[in-house]
Amino acid sequence: MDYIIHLFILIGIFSILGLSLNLVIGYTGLLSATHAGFYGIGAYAVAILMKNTGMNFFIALLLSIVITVLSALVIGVVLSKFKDDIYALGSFGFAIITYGLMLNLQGVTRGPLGIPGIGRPELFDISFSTNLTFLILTLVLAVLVWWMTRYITRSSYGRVLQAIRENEKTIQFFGYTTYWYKLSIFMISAGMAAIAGALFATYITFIDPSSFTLIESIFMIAMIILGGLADNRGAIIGVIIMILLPEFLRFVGFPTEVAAQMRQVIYGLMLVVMMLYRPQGIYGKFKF
Amino acid sequence: MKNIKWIIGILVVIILVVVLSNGGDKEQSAQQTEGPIKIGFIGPLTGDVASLGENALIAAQLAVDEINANGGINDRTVELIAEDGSCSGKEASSAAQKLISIDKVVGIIGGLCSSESSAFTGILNQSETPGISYCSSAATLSDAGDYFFRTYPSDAYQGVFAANYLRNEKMIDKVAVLYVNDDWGAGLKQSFIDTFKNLGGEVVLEESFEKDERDFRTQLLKAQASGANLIYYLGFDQGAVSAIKQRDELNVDLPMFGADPWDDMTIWNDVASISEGFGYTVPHTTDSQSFTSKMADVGVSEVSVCASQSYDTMNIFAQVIGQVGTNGSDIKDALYDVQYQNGISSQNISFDENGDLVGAEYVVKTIQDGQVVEL
Amino acid sequence: MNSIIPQIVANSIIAGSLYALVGLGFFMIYRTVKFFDLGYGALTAFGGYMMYWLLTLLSVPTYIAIIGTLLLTAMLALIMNRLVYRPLRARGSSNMVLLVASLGLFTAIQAIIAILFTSQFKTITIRSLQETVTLFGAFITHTQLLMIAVTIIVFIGLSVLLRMTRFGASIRAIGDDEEVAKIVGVNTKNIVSWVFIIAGAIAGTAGLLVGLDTGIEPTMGMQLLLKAVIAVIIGGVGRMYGVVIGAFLLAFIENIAVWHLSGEWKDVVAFSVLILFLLFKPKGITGA
Repeated sequence: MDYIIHLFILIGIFSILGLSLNLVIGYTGLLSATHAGFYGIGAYAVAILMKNTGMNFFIALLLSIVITVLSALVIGVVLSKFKDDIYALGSFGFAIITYGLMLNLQGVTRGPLGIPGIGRPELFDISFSTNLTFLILTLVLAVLVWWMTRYITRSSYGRVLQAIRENEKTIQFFGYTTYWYKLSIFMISAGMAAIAGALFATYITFIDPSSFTLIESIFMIAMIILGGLADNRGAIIGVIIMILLPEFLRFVGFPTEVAAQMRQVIYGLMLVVMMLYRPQGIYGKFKF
Repeated sequence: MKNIKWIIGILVVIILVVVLSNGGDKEQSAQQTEGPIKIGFIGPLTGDVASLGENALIAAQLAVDEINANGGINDRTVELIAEDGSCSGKEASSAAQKLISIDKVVGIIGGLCSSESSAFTGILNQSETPGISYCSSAATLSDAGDYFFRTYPSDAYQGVFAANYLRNEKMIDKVAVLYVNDDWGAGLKQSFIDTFKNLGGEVVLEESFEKDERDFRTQLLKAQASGANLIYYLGFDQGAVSAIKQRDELNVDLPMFGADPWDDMTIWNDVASISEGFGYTVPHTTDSQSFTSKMADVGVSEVSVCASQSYDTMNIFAQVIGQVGTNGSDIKDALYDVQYQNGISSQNISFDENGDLVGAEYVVKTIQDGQVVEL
Repeated sequence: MNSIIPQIVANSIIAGSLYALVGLGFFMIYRTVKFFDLGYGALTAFGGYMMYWLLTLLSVPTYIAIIGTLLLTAMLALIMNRLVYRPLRARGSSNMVLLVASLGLFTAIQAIIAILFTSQFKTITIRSLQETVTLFGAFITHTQLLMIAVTIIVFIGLSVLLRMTRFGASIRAIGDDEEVAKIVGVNTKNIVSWVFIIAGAIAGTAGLLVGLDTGIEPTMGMQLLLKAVIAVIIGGVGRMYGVVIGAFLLAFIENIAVWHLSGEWKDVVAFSVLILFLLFKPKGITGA
């Protein structure tokens, strides 16, 4: 059972990432590859605050959201000036820069040594130290994020975002300063990623920069494209497939010496086949 | 769309069935006396460091085959179940969960990267499954709980030994340190630098490089210009070959000194002729030759770092399980008292109260006339 | 010891010509079909391994091994286009879908290489290429001279092809607007296939040169690909000489960063430069 609970916790954490990334990529149409960076900043902020000051998880979580949103402000100020390909390329760059900082600001992050022994969350007398209680916490936060993204996308603010995706020039013509919309949704999305980071850090109880690379961002992008952009259900389905598929492949019974690489082969080919079979994703409303 | 829902549904159901069908006999599993003894293996079998993981897996499998050929443990065969940890916390924790709750392994050999081990030590302690890492060197893993052990020495030993050797025996005053920017490199360079400075030496350059870096030209020039007498290089096989070649190409006349990843003939087959007088530290052992030839018999011409530890680890599990059976907590207790003789990676292997390898002894090997010679 | 400056310049030129070579092939694909082909990274690794297989394992004569490598890599590129990219593009899939599909190919090919050849690194040796010469006070090996020469030849060859031939005009037409190109009678399918063949051969060349210079391993593609992408962006996505300028600029910046700062900051500095370029010269240094 522990294994199943473990997988559900991962699905919960990555659902938060998928839902929040979908706000930027799916609804606003900006291909951001910086998401793993914010996920990492959130994770590091919580880990450092909890380890160094003994702060309660939930206070640390709030602070880490603030820190991550501020970093997103710094990055977004530059990034929101771009659109289309240039936006994507810029976000590639920022993903590698944030990774480089995590790796090399060793005074703060301990660099490649990582931060071990991060505690599990506690609230008054409740400790989330067992996996089952941690799963409940993860699901509560994931539902919260789901509800927030739903609220955002259905508001008039959300409709402006979708208009930016369809045609940025036109909506500018109607007097909307798209820059602020692009910047603000980027910051909101980063704040949500910080929640996922905080959960990851306290669940695994160890973090190092290797969990927050550009490849991890591409993994998240693949999740939501697979599920279907601009759809919350799609994001979740995409996450479930991308988490369970590689796990399922552990049970196929390849010969030991090539099993791990065979998993990669099948996994890669499945991505290709799924794109060929349903390029707009499983729940996708619109083709990008 | 319906198809996809079905596929996901079926996936979930299959996994649930697999789990539940195994979950029922949880109580019996500890006293299980039938069938093979299952041991888990975790290491990076894909990604940047897969070469080390692959090698270590073959070594562990070699040990398993030998044990089974000699009648197994108490007449039961051993089955090794390997899972990929990809050098990442997320992957390694999934792998460990799967091995423990689905396969019900008796113990785990792994992980390789400290990031792998650190991610599942909590799971080991919670499920009372002993784990022995064959390659994780991070100093912080000493506090990783009762169920975590390692046959790879903590950074401290090798760094201190190398510093003493270079400062006191080779009379090196100034050293340039180039290290791979990962847990192993960063940890080892710190213990080296601290000791070297205490002995009155000077570290004139301290620089890192990424694991996949192959262009060391400018860093080598910098080492030359820094006035160092020697370059202490901490990195793995391919990086080392590039660095040694480029040092020669650039006519940088500083000797290089490495660590145990250099105990790998693939490097020297390629660059021994341009490495005269180079040296490296390696754990003391008397029987590395027989291990190398055994590995060659299973088709592995190059034995990389941590493979011998992986081999020893499997044998230690076998020795201990043979004495106390398959109960996790009994194995853990027995591991704290174990005395493993004639190891490949180290002469005598035993663990201290933190589960760390006790007293790793090192020797220096040098390259003379194109041959690797032990001093 | 020789003086430092010429050697650093030489180091930058060596690194720059490799980035340029990889970048040129990547640019060919990007210029024509406008998506980020991550699979191109796997092609370079594939090229290196084909050379190793032919030369070291099968011991065929050097020049046949080289030709064989180029043919095999070009063929793989063509197959990737035929089986995956063409059907997706025919359906008008977005470049994000193509990005995910190419990620799938990259993952699968890399894993297949690892299964066939193990993950242990390999070196390819041609004795006569290992000798060192002194040029303007800098040391440089024959392999590296070859790399520089090949880059120049490929660059000139491609320039002639793009500027002076009908084929080149067709490529430019497709890159500008594929529909229009079709209407005016360009056989787009054919042209795109040839682009992949040429790009594949370039990737194969780069892979075998890396093999001769430092050695090969299955995961070598990602690092090469990333550098190529930055080179293409710095140079301005649109002009071929821009790729070369971008590549050399990147190499100089990196080497200066290593010299003045420290090796670990190389990537951060390189990508910061990228962001600055996007911000102040979004069309790259060659852009209007």
